[in-house]
Amino acid sequence: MRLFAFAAACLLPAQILSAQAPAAIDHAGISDRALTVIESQFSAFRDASAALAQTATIHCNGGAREPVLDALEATWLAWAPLDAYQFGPIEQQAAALTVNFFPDKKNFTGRALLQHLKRPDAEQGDPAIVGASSAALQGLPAIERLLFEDLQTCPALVGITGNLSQIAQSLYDGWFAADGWADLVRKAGPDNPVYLGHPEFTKQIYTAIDFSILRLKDHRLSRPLGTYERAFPKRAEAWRSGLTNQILTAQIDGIVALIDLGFADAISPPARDEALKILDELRTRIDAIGGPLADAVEDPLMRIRIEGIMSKLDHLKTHLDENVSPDLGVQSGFSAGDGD
Amino acid sequence: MRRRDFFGNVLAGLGTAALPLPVWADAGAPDFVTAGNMPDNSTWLVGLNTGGDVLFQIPIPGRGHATALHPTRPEAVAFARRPGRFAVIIDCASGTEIARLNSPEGRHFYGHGTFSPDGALLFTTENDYDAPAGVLGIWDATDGYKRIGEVTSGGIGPHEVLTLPGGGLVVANGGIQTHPDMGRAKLNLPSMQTNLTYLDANGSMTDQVALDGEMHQNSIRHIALDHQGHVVAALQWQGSPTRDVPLVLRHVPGADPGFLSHPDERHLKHYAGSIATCAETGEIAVTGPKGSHVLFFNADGLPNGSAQHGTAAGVARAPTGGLMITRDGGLVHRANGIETLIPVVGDWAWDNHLVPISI
Repeated sequence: MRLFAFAAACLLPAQILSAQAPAAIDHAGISDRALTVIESQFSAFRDASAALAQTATIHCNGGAREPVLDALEATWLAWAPLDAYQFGPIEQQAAALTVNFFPDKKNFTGRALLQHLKRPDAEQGDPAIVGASSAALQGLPAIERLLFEDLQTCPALVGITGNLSQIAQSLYDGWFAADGWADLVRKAGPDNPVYLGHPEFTKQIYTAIDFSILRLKDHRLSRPLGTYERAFPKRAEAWRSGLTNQILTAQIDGIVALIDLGFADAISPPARDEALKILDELRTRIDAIGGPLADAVEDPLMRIRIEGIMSKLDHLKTHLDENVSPDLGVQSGFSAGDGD
Repeated sequence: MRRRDFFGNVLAGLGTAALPLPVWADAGAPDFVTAGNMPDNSTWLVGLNTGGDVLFQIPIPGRGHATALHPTRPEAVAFARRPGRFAVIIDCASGTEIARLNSPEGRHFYGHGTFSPDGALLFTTENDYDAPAGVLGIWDATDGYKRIGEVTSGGIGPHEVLTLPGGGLVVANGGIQTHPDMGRAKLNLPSMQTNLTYLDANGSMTDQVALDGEMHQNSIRHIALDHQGHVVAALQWQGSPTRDVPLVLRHVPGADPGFLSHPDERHLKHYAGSIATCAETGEIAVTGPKGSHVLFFNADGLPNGSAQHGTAAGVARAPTGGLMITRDGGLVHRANGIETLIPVVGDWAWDNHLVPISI
């Protein structure tokens, strides 16, 4: 009797798993499609970073500044959807902070730059020196400050953009070179050291979207918005370069790509259409703020529009939790296997 | 409070605490406490006995991780899961909340804590996340759990802390930098440094052993004392996922940490969860909730088989001898190599740790 009870209990995990992941869901297909999206995003970031490093070198050799600004914009917008993927190569290479040290509550970036600018020129322009320095020195906010604050831009610009380009290449390789993270995803199974099955990657992508919504609402909007009595315009990401609103939209576009092209028909058409409709409304609302976020947080009317975007993000999260996650078999639940 | 006199404060407090107070028997005499979750996502603190009976279940405001138990009074500290900012002190006899600890500005809890041997002080592992640095928060259990200070943990990412029998503390500094703004992301894996740090009764560091070289990414997270009082640790590998590495170590004071390899360690998916040792035989059990596997080692550290158990999470010494493990569907008791399933009524999903009542 005891043996029977034990055997019955041993079946429990399989029953629970099958209840969470109906056989009808093609998780391997989701993995393949999501990897296609991710590949295009990481390759865009790699290419934009390389162009940024190239234009920086030309600028520091007497060339124009404008191409550097254009390349910075392209690189930052290419990164915007990637900051949600806080696993795999980004985590292994500690790139979450090195690429975009945000939010920077204690001005680590400013302090790291001041230290770096005291170094000899040859060291300032050396990507290896930058790569061995504080994470706050290595990323997009540091580059922005060099270009938009009253600082000596060159040759530090060459060193920092050169290091960033190497990071971007390394992230792409970490994902898509032979035996990279993408191969781990594709080979999910009982003997896989990371993914016991494809549903685990589906859940990871769903969690990434969840984190992306949190980043948009809490860090990119709520922090600068502050309160009616006191706004914090300089907490807006990339306020110096004026890229703040475009970054919001680029991040929304990243979510659209994962839902539309990654999850695709694994989600029922009504649930997918509604998600895409909400995301489209978010894009429209961002366009309609009426000014750069750093200005908007100090304007009563525009503040209301920002609050409307935050409410719409809540609506998106609720819709995903209630109508999309059941389709994907990734309903939130508890497991000690979540780790800690 | 000056760091050097924090245990002194405890002893002073004890002199006024000799009032008739409830004991663990008043809470139904549980043998273990764990955090658990129901299918409706409600979160609970649960008292269990060795027969698998739920002797109490008390709602807690969020997902738990580990629990610190007062050595004499039926008081449990239920910690929120990282990066939680609260811990709830619960009177397990009445089911009521005695106090709520809020982490100070710029800190969050890691989910573990321990009482001083006399029960007068509570120590909590915390993240000073903007530094970044690890600290041990100190709370006065004789005065409404008022925060009375903090000391360095000796590294980044302090996770489990234990009180040593001779006084003092040992801390597992996992070495992983996290920040609440970045969710649960690990921010420093290429450069992380993990260590075991020993503190004396005055909060001063007395010893520290770090994992270096290619093992610097083998995060020391959960710890226990073996039958000789030495620290054994469950590790979580943060390096290349294609490498197989040992996930258990033992540290004998004065020596380098010794890794305990096991032929089935790959089944743990690089994640060793809880660790406990058998009081009678010295056997070491290490759970792997990600891999749904448990590894066993003899007292001498040699492999002694493994077992598959769904979401095997917590493990603790059983008062009847042997070891008790939480898994899907209930508990497993292991003694002398024989495993017995003990179903627990209710669709519980246990959280990571099973904490024994040690009196």
